Amino acid sequence: MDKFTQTFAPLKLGQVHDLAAARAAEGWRYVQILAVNTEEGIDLVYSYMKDGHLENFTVKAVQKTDVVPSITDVFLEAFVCENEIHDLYDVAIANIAIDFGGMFYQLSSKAPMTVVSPEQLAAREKAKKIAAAKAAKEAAAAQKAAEPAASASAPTGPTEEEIQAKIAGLDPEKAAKVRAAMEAKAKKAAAAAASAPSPAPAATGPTEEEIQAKIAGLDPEKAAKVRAALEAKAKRAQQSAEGKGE
Amino acid sequence: MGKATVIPFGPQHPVLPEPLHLDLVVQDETVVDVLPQIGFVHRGLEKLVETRDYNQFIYIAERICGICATGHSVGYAETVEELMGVEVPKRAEYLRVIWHELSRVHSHLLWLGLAADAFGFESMFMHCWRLRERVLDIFEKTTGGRVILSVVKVGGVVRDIDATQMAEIIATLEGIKDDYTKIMNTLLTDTSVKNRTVGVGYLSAEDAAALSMVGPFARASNLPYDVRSFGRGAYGDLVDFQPIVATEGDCYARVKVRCLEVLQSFDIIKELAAKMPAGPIEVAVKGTPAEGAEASNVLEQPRGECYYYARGNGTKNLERMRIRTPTSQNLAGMTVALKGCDLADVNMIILTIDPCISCTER
Amino acid sequence: MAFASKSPWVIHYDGSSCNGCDIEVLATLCPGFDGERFGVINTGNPKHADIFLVTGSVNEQNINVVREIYDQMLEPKVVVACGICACSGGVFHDCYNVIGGVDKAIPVDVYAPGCAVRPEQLIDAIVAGIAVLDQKSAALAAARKGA
Repeated sequence: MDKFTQTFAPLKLGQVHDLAAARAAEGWRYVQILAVNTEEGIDLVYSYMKDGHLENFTVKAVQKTDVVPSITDVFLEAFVCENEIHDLYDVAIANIAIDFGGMFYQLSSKAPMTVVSPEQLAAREKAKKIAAAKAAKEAAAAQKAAEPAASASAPTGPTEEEIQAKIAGLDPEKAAKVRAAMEAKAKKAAAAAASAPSPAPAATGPTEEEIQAKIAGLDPEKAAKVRAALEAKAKRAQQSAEGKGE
Repeated sequence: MGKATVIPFGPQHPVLPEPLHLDLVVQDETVVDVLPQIGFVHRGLEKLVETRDYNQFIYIAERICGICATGHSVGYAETVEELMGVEVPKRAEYLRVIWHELSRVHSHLLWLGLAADAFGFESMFMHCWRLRERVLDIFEKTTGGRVILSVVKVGGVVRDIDATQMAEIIATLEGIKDDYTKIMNTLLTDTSVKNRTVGVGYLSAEDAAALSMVGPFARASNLPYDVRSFGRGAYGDLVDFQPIVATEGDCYARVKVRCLEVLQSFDIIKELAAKMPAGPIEVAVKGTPAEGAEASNVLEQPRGECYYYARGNGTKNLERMRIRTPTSQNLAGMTVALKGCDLADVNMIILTIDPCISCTER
Repeated sequence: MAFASKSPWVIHYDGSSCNGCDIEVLATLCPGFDGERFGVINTGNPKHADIFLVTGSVNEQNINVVREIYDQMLEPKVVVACGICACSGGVFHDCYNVIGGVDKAIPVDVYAPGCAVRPEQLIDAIVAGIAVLDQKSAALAAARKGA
């Protein structure tokens, strides 16, 4: 029984035809050709199989001006994939044995697999921003870890950058609420840092800001309950502080 | 020497369940050349990876083709699992193979009925589809669906088959096997059937190899290639698996190969049901495919080898999902087999290829 | 009841579907559900058919074929959209090559949703189609009398 194994290897555009001829001569089977639309161009993957070993060869970034040689003179059955790639990706392939000349699939739009819709672009931008913010955060954390507790690190609240990254892509209402919450957090942290020298700061109850931040987004009934609870907490804290002060 | 006429065949034709257009260049009653035209079922669903994440896309992969639905969902799930380095529990692998082999039985019975209808044997068509209903009942009892099962997911399967149900399934299959063997013997030994199929649409072993053909179409021309012989997944636990091969290379051989494959599938299901391991049926899949990661996979669908390719881009949407189905590989073989046949045999030859155009065009 | 609706002949065409609904259409006419006991026969010739069973979310290349078959059928005729892809595009409604539902190519009389549409649903749809066929037949007869 043959074992199934697969490999991926790079391939140059000029070697495509020679590889096909060599594989045919050694008795390999043609499996398929596929195309991937990338920002740098179209990647083509040619696959051949023999005795359970599947080889995938990737030609990276074929440009619109490049002409790909057809392998249908060696493997006639490749005409299906080559015509399809020509129609869907607008890749120029020369000398296909049965060439439908762009009419293999009669499509409503030209080269549809290369079309990137506005929603897709926005989604990719967002993904990039999130990845960048994550990378920046990790770099900052690595840096902090490098400086061993030099600055008694008072927790600084979220920076403007982090706020941006977090609200990127949320709908406006939610974005505003999250921003409010995070700014409140930032303020609180700044206040804590300012009063850091005084040890054991009096447990001040939640301020009006914090109450606002907490009830942002809750439904009215629950909001009222939470507000009542927080105001009661504030009163208690005040009373205990006064009690302590005395 | 007669004049050459072009006769259009399809896309709408009583024997064709799917639209396929052929321009047959005919001289007298002999087909001299064939130009296929496809594209009537191209929906462009490979682009949907952009809007459906890798878990949701399995529902689209299933609906590439209603006949090969289970095969596509298993192949897709295996490819994404390879991409993300997920290992599926043994019991899930067994269940997937059992559903896939049942799918092969239903597909071959469907095909047998249509092939019989193609040369006018309508009562055979009715008998095969009557037996097929019993297989669809098994599907409905175990998954809830008759055609599109939606029972495979990335990480395993969604439902389990317990021991009582499994015993019921084996008993049903024994009943189907008895009826089926009677029908199969009638078909394969009948003189009128032989008159219509022996020597028709001959494709030699050299042509089959040169055109890299796959599936029962190739195995009927003495090309012993079957992905199941690689022994991956539950197929590795079978005591002995030999692909069914015939040497005649004509329509009769293709009918015989598929008929015998049904019996082989019954045996596979019975053997795996007896060896079914206990355990979980799924594993939690966390995270997203890595940027630039690639994976390829092959699977033996009822019509032959199907190739899957997936590439990740770091988000929960795949960058690219590509499925190359067996019929698109066999189209060249079909045009070669049609050359030189009688006009009346065109139906039979096209159907013995078992074309699944919706798979080819996605 | 008009005599066409006593034994409606159907013509089936796959308008860019995955095939699931098509095999369920054929299963309805086979011994499992036996549509043929109602006189329903699957014909290949549009000129012999009363009911047009279309499946699939129609694609660019198929629009003309669907319209051609519809035009070749004789009045009174009924169109049944089988499966959710034929009703509204189904799971492929946002694909680039799909127009999204048969009613964008030809007028539809009965919608039978499902993925794949169940044979019981199809029998219901054909029965509903027969009622529409009766109405159209009566309207034609009245128009002929009136004219």
